[in-house]
Amino acid sequence: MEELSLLANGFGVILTWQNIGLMMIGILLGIIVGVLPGLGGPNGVAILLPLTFGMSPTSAIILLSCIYWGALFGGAITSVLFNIPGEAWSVATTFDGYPMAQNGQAGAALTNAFSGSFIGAITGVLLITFLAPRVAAFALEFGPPEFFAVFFLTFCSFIGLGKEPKAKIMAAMGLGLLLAAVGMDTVSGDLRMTFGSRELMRGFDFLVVVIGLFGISEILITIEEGLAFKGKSAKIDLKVVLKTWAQLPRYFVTMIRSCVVGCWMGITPGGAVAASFMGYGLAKRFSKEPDSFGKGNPEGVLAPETAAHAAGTAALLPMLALGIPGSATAAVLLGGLMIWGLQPGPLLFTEQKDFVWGLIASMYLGNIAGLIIVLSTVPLFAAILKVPFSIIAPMILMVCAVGAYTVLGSVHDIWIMALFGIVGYIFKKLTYPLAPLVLALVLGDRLEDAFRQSMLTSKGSLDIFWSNGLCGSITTIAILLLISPAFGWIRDRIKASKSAESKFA
Amino acid sequence: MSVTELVSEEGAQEGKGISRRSVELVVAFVLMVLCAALAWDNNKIGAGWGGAGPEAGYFPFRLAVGVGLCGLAIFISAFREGNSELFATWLQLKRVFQLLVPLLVYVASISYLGIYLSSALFIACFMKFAGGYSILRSLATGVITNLVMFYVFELQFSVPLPKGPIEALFGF
Amino acid sequence: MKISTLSVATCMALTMAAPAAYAQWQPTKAIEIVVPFSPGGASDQMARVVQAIITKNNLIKQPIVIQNKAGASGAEGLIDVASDKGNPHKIIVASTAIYTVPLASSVPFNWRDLNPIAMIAQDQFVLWVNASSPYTTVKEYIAAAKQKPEAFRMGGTSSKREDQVITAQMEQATGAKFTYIPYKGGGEVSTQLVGKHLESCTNNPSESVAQWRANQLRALCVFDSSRIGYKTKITETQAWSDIPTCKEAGLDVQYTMLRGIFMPTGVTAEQTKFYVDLFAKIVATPEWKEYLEKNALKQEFVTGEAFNTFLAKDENRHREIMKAAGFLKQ
Repeated sequence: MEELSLLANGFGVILTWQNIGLMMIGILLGIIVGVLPGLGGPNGVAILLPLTFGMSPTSAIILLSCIYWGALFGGAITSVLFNIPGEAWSVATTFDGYPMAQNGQAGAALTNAFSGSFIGAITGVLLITFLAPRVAAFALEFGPPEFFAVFFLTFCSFIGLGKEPKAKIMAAMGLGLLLAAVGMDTVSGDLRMTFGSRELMRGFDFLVVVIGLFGISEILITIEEGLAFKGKSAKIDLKVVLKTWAQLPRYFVTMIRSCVVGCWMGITPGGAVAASFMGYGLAKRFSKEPDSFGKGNPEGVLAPETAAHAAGTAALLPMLALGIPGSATAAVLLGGLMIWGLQPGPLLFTEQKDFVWGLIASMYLGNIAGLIIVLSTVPLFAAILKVPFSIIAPMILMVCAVGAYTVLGSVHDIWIMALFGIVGYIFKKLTYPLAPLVLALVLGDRLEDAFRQSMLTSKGSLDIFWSNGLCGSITTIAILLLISPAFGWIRDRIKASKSAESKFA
Repeated sequence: MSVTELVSEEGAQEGKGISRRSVELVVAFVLMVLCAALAWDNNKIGAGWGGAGPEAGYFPFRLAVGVGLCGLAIFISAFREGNSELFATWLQLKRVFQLLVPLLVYVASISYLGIYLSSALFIACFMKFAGGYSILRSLATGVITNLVMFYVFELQFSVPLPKGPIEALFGF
Repeated sequence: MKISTLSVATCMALTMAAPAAYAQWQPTKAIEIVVPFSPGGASDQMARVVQAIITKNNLIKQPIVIQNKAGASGAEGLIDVASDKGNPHKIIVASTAIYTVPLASSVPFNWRDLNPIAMIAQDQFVLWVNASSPYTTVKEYIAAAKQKPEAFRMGGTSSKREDQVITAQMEQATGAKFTYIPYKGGGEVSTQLVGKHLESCTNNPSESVAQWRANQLRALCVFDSSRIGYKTKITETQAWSDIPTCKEAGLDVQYTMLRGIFMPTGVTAEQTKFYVDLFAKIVATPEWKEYLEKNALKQEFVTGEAFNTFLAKDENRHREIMKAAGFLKQ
């Protein structure tokens, strides 16, 4: 086991008081950055990057990667408490996390989210530790048709699940895809659907829309019933952590599934966002009680968080081994590597052993330290729900406005956020599903880009999606998933007609 | 907005609130109009299948048509159903507007006063008028929250947020 | 016209801030560097290096803040700075996109809406192929591409921008036909080429150097009038200076990309001079030289009238190439 001795070496590199101190600071800063939606992971890392220029590369990457872990953990907090996802991959966490908080289980929801994150991240790190070079080569297999197949698979694993009227599901998803297409088109360079407006040119940023659709609309719905939070304030202490952990083994299969989905999506640059939606979609599909999802099922918190973090961590692998960043934060880290004089790419693992294995060792320690810190803050965060609504509501709205502004530094985006708050309120009351809209908005442009890049290659022929085994099998699985609800429906019909016949016979 | 028009239109017959059916019809109608505009715009930049696969407007055009058709289907089914369920009662709507109007005023004021002063006033006013706290407590909460925000964003993380005349006085 | 606006602005500054105007102008609050690309890209890195050099050498007392405004292929950042007339605390890191984007799309922007400070470097382009491909010279590569028109996939960043302009120039020079496939960034293009989803690409040196060193990619030629100056060995056998120019290898195409600093118009002459002097100091630091070498950027520092002339000439050159390729907006 060469990897183990290298890893031991790595621990030797990072286990100094100074590095452990940096790790703690990084995690705490990361949580702050993750909780304030305006700062977010990439911003937080970018802002602190100049501070690290004087440090050794190893200390610097420990500090910055710990900010990354902290931000990953912190993103779940606002999703669960206020229905405001701080990052794209926490959207699926709101589906069950927020209802749990409303049922008075905020502590349990947060514990589930953090534990899921931890398990996912550790799985990702194990993968990096033992399979790095082999797995990195696999990522090279992915060209445009394979990318399209992966995104298509994510869509197919998620749709067909809702119980809302079919026309509304389709309208919501179509709207999401249309919103994603507004602005400049990568493939042709044309401006689409901007109607000459300078503000629309940059398109709709995902976070701005989601803060409006989820966060603002939720406050509008809450206030219908007067000035009180629907959330029952339950007694919260650290025991809730242990109680929640006792339940975890029940969701063993879900966690394994999410880990596999996450690692796979992280390596095949599908990304953490796609992984979180797919993790949620599959958990619901294979669950015995799919109807309990969306109403506060702990499985619905665990599944997306585990998948997102497995993917987020596994995505560091292509970044280190190939030099392609799997996320915006990873891109900033990548820029940092170059400033410290390191060259991310195929030679990093052989030329900079100390650095790489120090980083991997810090992933283990950083996640363990992160888990301890966030779990100990669960009662604190859950207690925020006890603040009277007339104080907390304007503060949430302020944080939403700050978040919408900082995404692209535009006051116009605060208006967009308010507009989508109203849209979200009306859509929720009329049972237009928001999840497909958001999924389409996140993945829409990448799906379209991959499709059109494939079409450029194949000169407009669809055969390209079955041109090799990898791509063909993903596409086929996707189509099977897409039509599988129809099979169930036909089976039910046959059963129903048979039982009807037997009655008459 | 469309909602306010409905208030006067439907108010007389319903008495207790806005019917869900009328909101459903309006939303479906807005969807159809929006999609017609989008389809027109995409058709303009080219919505065919060119030599190198789909043109820029290919997918958006078809999506717009598709969503427009969904809108039509929703419109028709809402029109037929004719159920008398309520979208929201007048009281609920009044509460929603009591939040929505200040929110929009707040967003508008950000451009002029900067985000810190606007937020401080917004929090203070909301606490005073919606929560019934004393003026002193409300103002203190608003101001302190925003001083903390200023400290975190401008001074610690150097993320510039929109600023207004007050900040300019202090040289920011 | 330009002189008169400047002098009017100067007069206004004189009347408004009379005592200070005679002394050299100094920033009074944080300086914002707008990066019209997302965090992590080449422009973003350059901005952060500039920030690091200023802070490390204490060149300005005020803090430096970096703002990424990447919307609409960077047009958002450009328009943001152009419309912030008279703000002396804002500068932007720009590239050739200041003419290609408005030429190709209906974005309401022209580089004359900005106040040019300095060109601080020129970025090179290299023709890369997969190391396992049979082509070791440009001639073999072009001959093969000519035999199978449109079968050769050329990757690049965005549409109708630098990479596609070079591809169009190559087509015009040789008569070969490529299929250009646009991606979101150079790093992605490089990996796609390693994975053989492309036949070639025209990445900047810094975007593909990692794969070159790992012997996954092969550099055929550099699109410049002279070879790259850096002589340190990068791979086991080659230094940047060992890559032939495309012209000497038999492909007469030249293209370099400007990397420059601009600020809003309507500022005083002293304010402009302050930034010109600041960047003159920055490019003289050893950190900057190290950064240039690491990314194989061409050292170039042009300011004032010479820079304006360069911009006007370069814009015309782009208009001609893009017109011939059919990239101009209708």
